[in-house]
Amino acid sequence: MRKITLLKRAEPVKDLSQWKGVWTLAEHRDGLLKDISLEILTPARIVAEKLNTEVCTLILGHGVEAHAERIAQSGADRVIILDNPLLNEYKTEPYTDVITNLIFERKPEVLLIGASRNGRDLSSRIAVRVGTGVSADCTVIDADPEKKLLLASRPAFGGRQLATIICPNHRPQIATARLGIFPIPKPDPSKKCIIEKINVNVDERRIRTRIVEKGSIPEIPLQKSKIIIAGGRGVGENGFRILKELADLAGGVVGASRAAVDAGWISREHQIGQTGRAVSPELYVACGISGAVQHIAGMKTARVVVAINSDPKALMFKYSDIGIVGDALKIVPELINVLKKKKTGAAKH
Amino acid sequence: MTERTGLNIVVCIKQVPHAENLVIDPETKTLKREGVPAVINPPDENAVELGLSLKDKFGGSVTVITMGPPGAISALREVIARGVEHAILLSDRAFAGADTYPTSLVLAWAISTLNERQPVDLIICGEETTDSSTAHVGPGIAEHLDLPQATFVESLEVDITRRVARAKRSLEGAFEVVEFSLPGVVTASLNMNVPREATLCGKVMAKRREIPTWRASDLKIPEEWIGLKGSPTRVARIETQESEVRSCELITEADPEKAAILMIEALKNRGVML
Repeated sequence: MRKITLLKRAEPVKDLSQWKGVWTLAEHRDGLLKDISLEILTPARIVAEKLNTEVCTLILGHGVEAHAERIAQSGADRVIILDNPLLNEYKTEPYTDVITNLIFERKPEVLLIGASRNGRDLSSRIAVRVGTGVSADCTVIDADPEKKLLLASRPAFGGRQLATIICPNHRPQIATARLGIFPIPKPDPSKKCIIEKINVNVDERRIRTRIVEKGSIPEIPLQKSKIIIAGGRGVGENGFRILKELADLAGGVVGASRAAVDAGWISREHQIGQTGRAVSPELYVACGISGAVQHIAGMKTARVVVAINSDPKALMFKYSDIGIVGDALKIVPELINVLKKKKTGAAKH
Repeated sequence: MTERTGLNIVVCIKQVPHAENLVIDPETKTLKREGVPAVINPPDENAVELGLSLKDKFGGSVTVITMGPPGAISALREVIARGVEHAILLSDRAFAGADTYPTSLVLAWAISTLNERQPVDLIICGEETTDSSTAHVGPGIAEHLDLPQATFVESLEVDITRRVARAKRSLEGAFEVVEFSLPGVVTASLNMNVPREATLCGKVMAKRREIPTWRASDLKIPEEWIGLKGSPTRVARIETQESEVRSCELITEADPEKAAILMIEALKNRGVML
């Protein structure tokens, strides 16, 4: 058995001026470029302009030229392809090895990674290996041009407050960007970009974690949906079936509060809030949701919010445009009836 | 060397404020803190349960460690009452103000110390904490100790003869099953299992149990490596965000059908056609 040994600690960087450039990491899976890879280019550009430097995107894998092209048109000044077929799938160890080696070689001042599960799996490992800090799951990313600092902000205290984190004496300054928060830049085919390809060696013996099986889980299009019918503790397990029926009829999807997910009534992919997804639909209907601050953090940008709750004192009403004091399990079936009548009526015409 | 049986497991937990009770008063715009109890970070409960169930199956031992103020000892008593044999509190003023880097360093250092006494096979953490939601401490520990890791684990099997762990990870819109040879680090997903209740006998035992506290000096860890001094990041500022309170048109119609029709009307007025 291998002995557990401690490695080294985070040492402050002596000459900060040697560290230049804003890096981002592109994420892809099964040949598809993840949206977050483009989303992070938006804050990366702002930061690079304030720090008067370039945006460079790393993409690991083999045969990823098409992704590189797309990133080139979306705001990167440079794309570095770290080419090796063993890197087509994300694996903690080779990704950490390849990226940290390049960090030590080229010394970027900022590294932005998507706050996906793999992004968070990786960012902490890179930070500890390099000896620097990382701000997780940021929703605002900016820079201070005088102090040459990354300003990485994230919700704190249940989303009520925004904490801005800095990493003054260590480099690179790493932040992970929350999924679905930053807009995807419009592609510009005339954008100048250098695409560099480096063949990297991957020591297979270093890969201690092998992927033996994988598959996809149908994703709930929460962030793309215009209508979300969400349920909370006041709805119960059976209630979610009724919410699903309304959502299907209205062309929307079902969302849930953490309380409902924790109760096991609905899967976590539906969770909206600080620890779930942040959504901005046209219409958000909150059924039996109390209105905890963490939930509000995930839906406050919805255009129209409706609350249905039997407790007239429910906080959710304060965050809603329309409120119905009543039992969601009685009102939602009536909404379903009205919509069904409308549909059959429309079919007759 | 004799063939090892059983699993020597270390579970890392954290005490956090009860998140569900965290509510903002829209009038005073302050966080309601009164009566908000401290609880074990919810996915850490699943981490403890995973450790105990593996021990039930294969034998061995479960040691739970936590870094926190002296009051965090109550979290350790709670898990002892559920069947955990060993618990250690890592508590020292010098640990305070730590970001995820020194936090994972102190935990890794403690695990390394335990490993010198008896080789550690598996380290389990919760996937993330509800109070800071970084998910960085588990991977941080793995990196400090140069171990393989599987994060966001929904289920875990151990092949005890080969001493290999097989973990199902849940990702955005995907899952994967990964394998690694022990020792290694896994982070447990919330709700991956149902944490067992404390037994009456366990509660009695937990009250009496002496729980060792390890300080920075016990770990022989240099003070400039830990706490705020050892943290690369700083909080530069905290802003209170704009209030999201909306003016609510309240429908108090008691008849559900009429209420539904009124709601559809109110939506139409706002340009939303259901």
